[in-house]
Amino acid sequence: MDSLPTAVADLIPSSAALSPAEALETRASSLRRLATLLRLARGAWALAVYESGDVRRQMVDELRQAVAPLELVEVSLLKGAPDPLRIVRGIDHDGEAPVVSFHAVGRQVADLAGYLDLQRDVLAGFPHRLVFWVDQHDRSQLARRAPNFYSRLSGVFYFPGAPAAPGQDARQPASLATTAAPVHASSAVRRRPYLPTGDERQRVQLIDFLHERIRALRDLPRPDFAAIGDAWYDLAGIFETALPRRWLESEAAYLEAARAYAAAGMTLAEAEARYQAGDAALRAYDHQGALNHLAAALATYRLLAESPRATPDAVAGEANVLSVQGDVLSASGQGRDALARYQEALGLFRSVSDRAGEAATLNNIGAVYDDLGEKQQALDFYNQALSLHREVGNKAGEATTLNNIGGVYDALGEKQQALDFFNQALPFYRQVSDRAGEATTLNNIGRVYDDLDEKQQALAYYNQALPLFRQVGNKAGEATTLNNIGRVYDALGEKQQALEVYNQALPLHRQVGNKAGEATTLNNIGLVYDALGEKQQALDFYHQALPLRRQVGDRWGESITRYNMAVVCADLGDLAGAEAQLLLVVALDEAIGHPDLASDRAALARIQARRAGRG
Amino acid sequence: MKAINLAQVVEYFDPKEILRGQHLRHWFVQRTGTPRQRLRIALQTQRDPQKILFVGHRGAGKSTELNKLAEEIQDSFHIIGFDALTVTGRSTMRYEDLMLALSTQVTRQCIDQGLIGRPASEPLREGWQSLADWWRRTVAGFSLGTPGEVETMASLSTLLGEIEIGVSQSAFTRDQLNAFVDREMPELVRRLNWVIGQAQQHLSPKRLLLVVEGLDKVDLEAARHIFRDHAPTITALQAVMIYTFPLALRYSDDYQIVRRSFDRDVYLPNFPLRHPDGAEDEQDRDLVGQIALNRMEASLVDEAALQHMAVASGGIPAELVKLVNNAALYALERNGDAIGMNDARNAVRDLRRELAANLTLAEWRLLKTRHGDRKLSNEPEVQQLLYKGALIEYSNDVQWCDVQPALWSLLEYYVEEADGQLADGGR
Repeated sequence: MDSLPTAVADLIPSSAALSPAEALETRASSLRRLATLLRLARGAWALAVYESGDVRRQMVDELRQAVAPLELVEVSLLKGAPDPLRIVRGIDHDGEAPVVSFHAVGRQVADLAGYLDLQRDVLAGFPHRLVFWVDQHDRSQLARRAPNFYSRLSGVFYFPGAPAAPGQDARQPASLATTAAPVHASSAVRRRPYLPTGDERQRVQLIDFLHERIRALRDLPRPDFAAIGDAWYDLAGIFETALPRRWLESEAAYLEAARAYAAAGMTLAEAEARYQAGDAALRAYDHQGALNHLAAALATYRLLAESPRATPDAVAGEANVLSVQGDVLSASGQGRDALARYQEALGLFRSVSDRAGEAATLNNIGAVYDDLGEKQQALDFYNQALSLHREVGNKAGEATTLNNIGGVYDALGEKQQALDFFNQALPFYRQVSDRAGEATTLNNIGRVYDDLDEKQQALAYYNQALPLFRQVGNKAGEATTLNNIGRVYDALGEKQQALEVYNQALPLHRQVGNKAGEATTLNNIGLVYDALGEKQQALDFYHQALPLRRQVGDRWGESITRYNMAVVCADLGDLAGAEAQLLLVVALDEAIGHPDLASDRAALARIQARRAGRG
Repeated sequence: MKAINLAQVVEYFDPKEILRGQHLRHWFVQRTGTPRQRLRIALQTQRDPQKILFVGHRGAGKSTELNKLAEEIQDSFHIIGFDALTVTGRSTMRYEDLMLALSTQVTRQCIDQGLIGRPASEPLREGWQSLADWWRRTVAGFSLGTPGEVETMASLSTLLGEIEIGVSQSAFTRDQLNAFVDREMPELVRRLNWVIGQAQQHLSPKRLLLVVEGLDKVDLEAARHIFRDHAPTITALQAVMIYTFPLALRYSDDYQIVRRSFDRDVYLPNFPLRHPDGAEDEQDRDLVGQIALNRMEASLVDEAALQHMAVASGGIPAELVKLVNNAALYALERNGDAIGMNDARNAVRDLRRELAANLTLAEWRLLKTRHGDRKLSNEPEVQQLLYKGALIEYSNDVQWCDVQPALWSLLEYYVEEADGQLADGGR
C-alpha cells in the first residue's frame, strides 16, 4: 500500500500528532466513552487502539475501575490459544454479563480477523461485553480482513500516548500468587496470558516468535525497551503454563523483563517483573533465589508507595511481595515468620480494598496454622477466606480453601465432612483447569479412604493424582502422593513395596525442601522397619524425623513420631524412654487439641503402671 | 418501545443487532423501492421451487428485510434458515461444504421441528446409514455406539450435529468428508429431496422456503466456485430457496453465467440520499432519520444533528445506528440530555477517520473521479472501494455511486496533497 497522506494520519489520534496534554485528554475521553458504552450496552463490542503496551495496561486497569461493579476479565489471546468464542463460553456470570478485554499477543491478527468475521453471529449471541485491544497496524488489518466483524463494532476508541515517563507507569501487579502446596494448595489469582496447556508445538512456535520479536526490537536504532519488556514478560508466562512447567526459564525471562523495564524507566513494571521472578523461583524450589528477587521488588514497591504520587498499585504490589515471602518462609518450614509476613500483607490488601488479595492471604494464614497443627485457628481463617472468595467470585480460590477445610476435618477425624469439602472443591478445580489443585484434592480424597480403611479405593485416587502432579512437574505433590501410596502398601502388608515407594518420595521431598514431608516419610519408613521387627532401624528413622518436625514447628507430627518412638522403646523394654516420650506426647496433644489425647493418656498410664509394677 | 434517555439510546442502537420479533415490529422502516414486495408476490403466486439470489451492501439491511419477508409470508411458507458461513466455519467454502451444510441443517431442523413423523423414520434411517457408517469408519474417536445404531430420529439429529462440528473444527475431517460428499452427491441430493418432500407433505398447503445466508461474505473465489461452477447442484433441491450473494460477483464477468441457473436476482439498494445529478432526495433522507426516530424519542436528538448523521451515514442503516450510538456517548460524556450538533460532528469525525485510515493515495484519486462522474463500473479498484465502504452504490433512477459523504470534506484536501507528493517524486 502506498503511504497515506500525512493529513490522513493526522486524523488518527497518535502521540506524533498530539501534545502530551492532548494525548492525555484524548485517552481520558476515550476511556469515559468506552466505559459508558460497556456499562450501558449488554453485548457491546468495541475496538481499543493503543500505541504503547504500557498505556494499554494502564487503560485496562482504569477501565476495570470505571466499569465497576461489572467484572472485567482480562484475556491474552496467544497464538494457538482457544478462540474468543470458547473463552467467552467459559466465562460464567451470575448477574450482569462481564466485560471481556482481549489482547492479542503474538497471534497473527489475520488469523483472528478471519475467525471473528466468521463467528460474529455466534459471538453476538452472548451478552458479554467485548473489548479488543489492538495497535494501529492490527486495527487496519482487522478493518481490511474482517469487514463484517468491523462493521458490527459499536465503536473504535483511541488511546494515544508513548510509554510513560519514569515513575508514572502503572503496571498493576498481579493480585496474588502463592505456592501450591501439596495439601494446602494456595490461591492463585494472578493475571496471565491465556495459553492452553497441551499444544506444545504451538508453544514452541510462539516462543520462537517472541524471541524473534525481541531481537527485532533490540535492533531498532532506538530500542523500544518497554516493548522488549512486554515480550519477555509474555514469554515468561508461556514458560510457566508449559507442561511440565518451566519455572527456571520463566524466572530468567522475568528477570530480563525487569531489566528492560528498568531501561525504559518503568519502575513499577520492573518491580512487578522481579516479584514474578521471585514467585517463579519459589516454584522452582529455589527459596534463596526467590527471597533475593522478592527483596529487590519489595524495596522498589516501598519507595514507590512512599512517593507523593503513590498509586494503589504500589501498595498492592508490596502486599503481593510480602505474601509470596510468606509462601517461601512457609515452604521452608518457618511458619511463624511466614505468619508475620502474611499479617503485614493482609493489612495492606485491606488498605487498598483488594478483596481477592485479602481472601488469598486469609487462606494462606489458615494454611500456616494448619501446618502448625492449630486446626481451630486454621478453620477460622479458612472460613473467612471462603466467604470472601465467594464474594469476589474467585472459583480457583474457593476450590483451594474448600480443599484446605476438607484437610482440617480430615485431620480432626471427621472423615465424611472432609469428603464433602473435597468433593465440593474438585469440580471448581476442573472448571478452572487447575491440574495441580485437582491432583491435590484427589490425593486428599485418597487419604480419607485410606483412613477409612478402604485401601483399594485410596490407591485408585492416588493413582489419579500422581500422573497429574507429574504432568505439571509438581514434585512436592508427587512426593506427597508417593508417600501416601507407600502408606497403603504398608497397610496391605506389602512392606518391601512400601519401602520402595517411600524411597522414591524421600529425595523428591529433599529436592523441593519440604521438611515437613520429609519428616513424614522418614516417620513412615520407621514404621515399616518397626513392623518388620527391625526396631533399632526404626528408631534411627524416627530420630531423623524428629528434628525436622521441630524445625518446622509441626507439633501434630511431632506428637505422632514421639508416640511411635514410645512404642518402640516399650517393645525394646526401655520403659523409662517410653514414658518420657509419652509425657511429651500428652503435653503436645493438650496444646494442639489432638483427638487422641485420651488414648495417649491411657497409654501413658499403662506404661507408668508397668514401670511401677516393675519397680 | 423507544429510548427515553441517552443511556437507553446507547443500549438500543446496537450495530450488531439483526431486527427480529418486537424490535422488528417497532423499529422497521419501510423503504421506497424495496424489492421485498415484488419478491413476496413472486413467492406467493408461483408454484415452482424458485431459486433466488439476494444481494445488497454490507449493512444495507439484508437480514432485516429477509426477517420482515418471513413475517409477511408466514401463512404460506414454513421457513428454514441458517448461516452457511457460521455452520461451515469457513469463508473459503467449497460447494461440498455448502451441500453438506444444507443436508445436515435441513434434515436436523425438519426432525427437530417435527416435520418428519416417526413412521417415516425407517427410509430416513436407511438414507443416512451409509454416511453414518462411513463417518464411523473414517473419523477416529467418534462415539455414537456401534455401527447400525442409527435407530431413532434423535440419534440421527445428534449424528448430523456431530458431523457439522467435526467438519467445522478439523480440516482433515472436512477434506475426507468433502471427497465422500463429492462421490455421493447424486445420492445426497436425492436423499435431501426426499426429506424436503416429506416436510412439504407434512406442511401442505404451506410450502417450505430455505434461506441460506452468509454466502454474501465468502471469498470471491469461493463464491465463483459455488455459484458459477456448481450452480446446477445447488439449485437442484425441490424447495424454494433464497441465497444471499456477494455484491462483487454481481459486477464480474461471471455473473451472466451464474444468473442463468437462478430464477431471479433481487437487489436491495441503500437508501439514496440524493439523485445522480446531486439533487437531494428528501424523502429517503427523512426515512433514514426515521430509522433513528423509531428507536428514540425525538427530544433526545437535535433535528439538525440527526440530519447531519443521516447524511453522513450514506443511507446505510447500520452506519446510522453506529453514528447515533457514538454521538450519544459524546453527549453523555458532557452530561448532556440530548445529542447536539457537536456530538453528531464528533461521531461523524470518528467515522471519517475509520474510513480514511484504510485508503491508499490511488484510491483517493479514484474516489475524487467517482465523486465527479458518479459512474458505477466493475473494475476491481471500484469494487474494492465499495467493499471498503468508501464508495456507496445507489439505485434510484439509475444505478450510480458516490463517495461516502463523511469523506467529502476531505476529498479535495487529500487529493491535492497526494498530487503534491507525487510531484516531489512520490513515496
